[in-house]
Amino acid sequence: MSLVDWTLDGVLAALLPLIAWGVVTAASLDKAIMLFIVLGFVSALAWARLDAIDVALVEAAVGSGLTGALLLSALPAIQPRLRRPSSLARRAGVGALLAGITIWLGVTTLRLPARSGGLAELVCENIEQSGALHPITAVLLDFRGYDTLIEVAVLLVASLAVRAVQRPRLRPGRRGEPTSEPLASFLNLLVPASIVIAGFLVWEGSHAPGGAFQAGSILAGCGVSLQLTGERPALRMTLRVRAALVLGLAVFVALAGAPLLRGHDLLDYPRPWAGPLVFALELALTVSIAVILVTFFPGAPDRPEPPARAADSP
Amino acid sequence: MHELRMGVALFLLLMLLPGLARAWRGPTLTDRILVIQLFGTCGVAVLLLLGGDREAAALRNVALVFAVLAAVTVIAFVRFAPSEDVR
Repeated sequence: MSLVDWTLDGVLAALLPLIAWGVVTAASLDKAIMLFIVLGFVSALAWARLDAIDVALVEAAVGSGLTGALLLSALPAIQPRLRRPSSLARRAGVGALLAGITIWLGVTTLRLPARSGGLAELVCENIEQSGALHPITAVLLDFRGYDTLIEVAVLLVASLAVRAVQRPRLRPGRRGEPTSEPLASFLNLLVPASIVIAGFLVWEGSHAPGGAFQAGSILAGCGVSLQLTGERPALRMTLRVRAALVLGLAVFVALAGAPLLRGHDLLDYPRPWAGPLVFALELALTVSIAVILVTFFPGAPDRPEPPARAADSP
Repeated sequence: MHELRMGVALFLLLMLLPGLARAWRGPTLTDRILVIQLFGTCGVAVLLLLGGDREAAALRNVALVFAVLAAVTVIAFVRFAPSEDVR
């Protein structure tokens, strides 16, 4: 580690709490959202510096990109309903509660054994038995496949909940105003590039950082752009969309349950086929995650009708 | 070569500080969204520099993701920002 490395890490370490402070204390919602997106970018850089490339990928994809767009899309709905700041007693109460939780977490962290090998060695020793060559993918889809299975189910339930509470005004099926020329040509570049990059990331997932979540969120970003610009109407719950929503979970449940029929354990993929099976599962998950994430977004908002052109009027 | 790359990355990171000040002070949402674009572009550059080392080549994938998804935020901004803020 040279001086430059130290300074680089130092600047990142100083920026993170500073921006986080800005998010919490921002006077307006839009400022908080903007700083939150910046926080996502900086923490992705920090994860990259810590060699946690998988985390950096997810932070860049979900943390800053999609979450930022989601928060912005919620802004018009929340902004008008903001009330005056809550009373001092209430703020003090919430502050004390949060401080308590933080101190508790800190004490717990300090109590952990200073040097524990963790499970990293165990994973690397047994990676031959899993369906993937990359340790993170091996853990997510094989060794701890149970957790991922439940996560995918949670995502599906979240998508259903969003549909239940979405305001009818923002319901799907309407197109926004026609896309402007620069935006249209930009989309022409963005959409094919996103699809190629998403495919690349799923493939990478079997032996390097990448995988279904990252690829799914890139596809979702591309879908959200098309939906927000009004290029495509918001998703309707057609049979195809429903099938895509449940595809990932269905494939996962089938793969997890099939070994039971042959007297093996849940999620115990048959060894010679573990690799192809895990890859097929990743593909199915990518499709489902992308569609589920897109359903979180409302369609293009209502804009006033453009004034009729003079030539159209008699 | 490593030193040079890290030096340039540090320089880019420091260049973000004035941008951060603009995001902090605003005053309009448009100022802030431009800063976010700056962070996105700079982030891609920093990640590519960090990924210059052979063992960190996977960071280029992170740069790809950054580049693709930074655009979504702007599109969401154009669609959802209160119209009086868009000048």
